Amino acid sequence: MSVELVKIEKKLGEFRLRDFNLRVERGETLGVVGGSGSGKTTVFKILLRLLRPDRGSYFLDGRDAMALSRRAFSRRVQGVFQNASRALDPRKTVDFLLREPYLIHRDLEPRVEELLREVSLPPEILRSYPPQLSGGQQQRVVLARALALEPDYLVADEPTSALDPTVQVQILKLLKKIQARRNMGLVFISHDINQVLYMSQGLLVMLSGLIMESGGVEEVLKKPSPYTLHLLNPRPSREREGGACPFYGLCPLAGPKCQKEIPPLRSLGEGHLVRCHYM
Amino acid sequence: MLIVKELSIKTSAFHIIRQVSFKINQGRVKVLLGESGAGKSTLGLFLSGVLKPGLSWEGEVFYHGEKINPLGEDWRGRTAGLILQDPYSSFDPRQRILSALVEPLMVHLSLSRGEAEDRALYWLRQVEFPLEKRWRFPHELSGGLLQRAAVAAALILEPGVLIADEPTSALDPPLRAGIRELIKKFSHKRHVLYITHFVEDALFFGEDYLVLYGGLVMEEGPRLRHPYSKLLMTSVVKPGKELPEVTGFSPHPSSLPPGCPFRPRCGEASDRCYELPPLKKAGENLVRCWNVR
Repeated sequence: MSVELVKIEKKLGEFRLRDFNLRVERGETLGVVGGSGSGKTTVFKILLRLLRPDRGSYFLDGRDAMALSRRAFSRRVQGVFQNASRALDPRKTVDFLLREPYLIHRDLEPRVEELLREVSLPPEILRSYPPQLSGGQQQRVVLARALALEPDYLVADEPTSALDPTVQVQILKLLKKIQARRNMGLVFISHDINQVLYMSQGLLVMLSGLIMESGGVEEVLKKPSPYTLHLLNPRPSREREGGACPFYGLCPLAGPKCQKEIPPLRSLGEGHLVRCHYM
Repeated sequence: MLIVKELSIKTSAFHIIRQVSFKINQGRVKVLLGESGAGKSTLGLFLSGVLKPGLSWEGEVFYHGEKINPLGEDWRGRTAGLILQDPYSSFDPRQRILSALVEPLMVHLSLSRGEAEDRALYWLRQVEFPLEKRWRFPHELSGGLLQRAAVAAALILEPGVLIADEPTSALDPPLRAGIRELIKKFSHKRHVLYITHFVEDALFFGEDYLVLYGGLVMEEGPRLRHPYSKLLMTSVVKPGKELPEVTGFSPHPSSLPPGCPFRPRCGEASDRCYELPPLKKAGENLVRCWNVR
C-alpha cells in the first residue's frame, strides 16, 4: 500500500524536474525538503494531479493513479496547502466548507463535529467566515476539509510556513498525531529541514529539480551529503560561479568533476541515495 | 539615543499599540519580538515614517535629545532606513538595481551621476552583492541577493536609524544567517530595531529585547523572563527537542481579554492576572507580570 512516483520528468519554462522518484507507504511520513526553486511545489501538484508530468508514472497502491476518475482519486489522496487563507472561500461559513465535500461524495455520512474535534476547533467556529479566523484556525479548517473524505494519503506543502512559530508547533503536533491515528501515508513538504526531521521517517532532499539525497532519516543523518549538511548547519559563505552540480556554488567538497557533470544518484546502502561525486 | 515615549497607534475603534515606551542606544540592536497581531510591523513602519491610512497616533519620539515627528519628510528615508520582509517590494520592478541605488543620492544629496555611481558601487561591495549583476532587474535576482541590495538601499543615505521588519522571513534558512550578519555589521553607531519571530535571529543579536503582545509591552531589557517570552523562545523545532505545549493563539487587537492579555494562554496565571499588571523593574528588565520579580 503506497503512493509512488517513478521517473517523473516535468518542464515548466526554465525549470525542469528530472528523474524524480518518490515512495511513501501508508502509515509513514516522507519529508521533502528544499529551498525556493527546488521543485517541491511541482512535486506537490503532481501528487495531487493538479499538474500532469511530461513523462513517468504515478502509482496508487500499485495501480495507475492517472487512470482513476477525479472523484475516485480525491477519496484516496488529499492536499493541505501553504496559504490557508487562499485555500478557503471567504464567502462561505466554516460549516458549509466542511459539508461541501459531502455534497459531491453523497455516499459518505457528513461528520462535521468529529472533524472539528479532530483538529481541535470549538463548535462555535462553524458559523464563522474564514477571514474572521486566525491563521492557525484557518489552517485547521483546511486540514479538516482534507480529512473529510477519509483519504489514505495526505500531501502537505509548507503547511506552517505562513504561521507564527508558536502556531507552527501546534499544527505540526496535530498533523503528526492525526497521521498516526488514521494510519495515513503523509508527504510533508517544507523548506525547514528541522520540521521535516520532526515529522518524518523518510527524507528526500531536493535542489534545482533534482533529488540530492534520499533515505531513512537515521541513515541520512549518519552520513549526510554536503547539501543536506548545509541545510542542517548553514554557514554564510561566498558563492562560486558555474558548475554542473546544482550545489557546486557552496559545496565544501566541490572538485573539477562537479564543474563538468551532474553526479548520478548512487546508493550508500540501506536505501540511502546520494548525488555526489566525492562523498 | 532614540527614545519612544507612551506611543499609541489606533484605528477609530481600537488600539493597535498601547502606551509603548522604550529606548535604543546608539550602536545597539533592539530585537522586537511578538506574534501576528502584536503590533510589531505597525510600530516598525511608524518609526520609519509610514502610517497606514485610517490610523492615528499619540506620544513622543526623541532622537539625540530632540523631539521629532517620524512622519516628517526629513525623517523618512533620510534619518530612518527601512528593510522589508519581501525584498521584491523594496524595489521598483522596472528599475535596474544600480539605478535604484543611484537615484536617492542624486535627489537627496545632489551628487552627480558619476559620484552617485561610485557611492552605490561602494555600498554594493559592502553588502557583498556581486557587482556583475548590478544592471539586473529585481525579478532577475534571487530573494537572498535582492535582500542584500535592499540593505544597501536602506543604508545608502547613511541613516542613523535602521528598521528591519522581518528581513529574513521570506528567505530560505541557509540565506538568513548572511542577512542578519550584514545588519549586525552595520549596526555600529546606528540605532537598529530588528523585528523578527525567529528565535535564531533573536538569539543572534541577543542583547536587548522588546516583547509585544496585544499591542502592549510585556518586557524590555537584556533578558527574556516573561512567561510569554519563554513560550516564544521554546517554540522552535530542533531535532531531539520536545516541542512545548502551546495553547490558544495571539488575540486580535480589537478583542483583547481583560486583565493581562496573555492570561488565557499562560501556564503561570493566577486570579491576580484578571487585573492588568504594570510594567515594573525585575532585575535588569522591565517586565509586565505579577509573577516575575
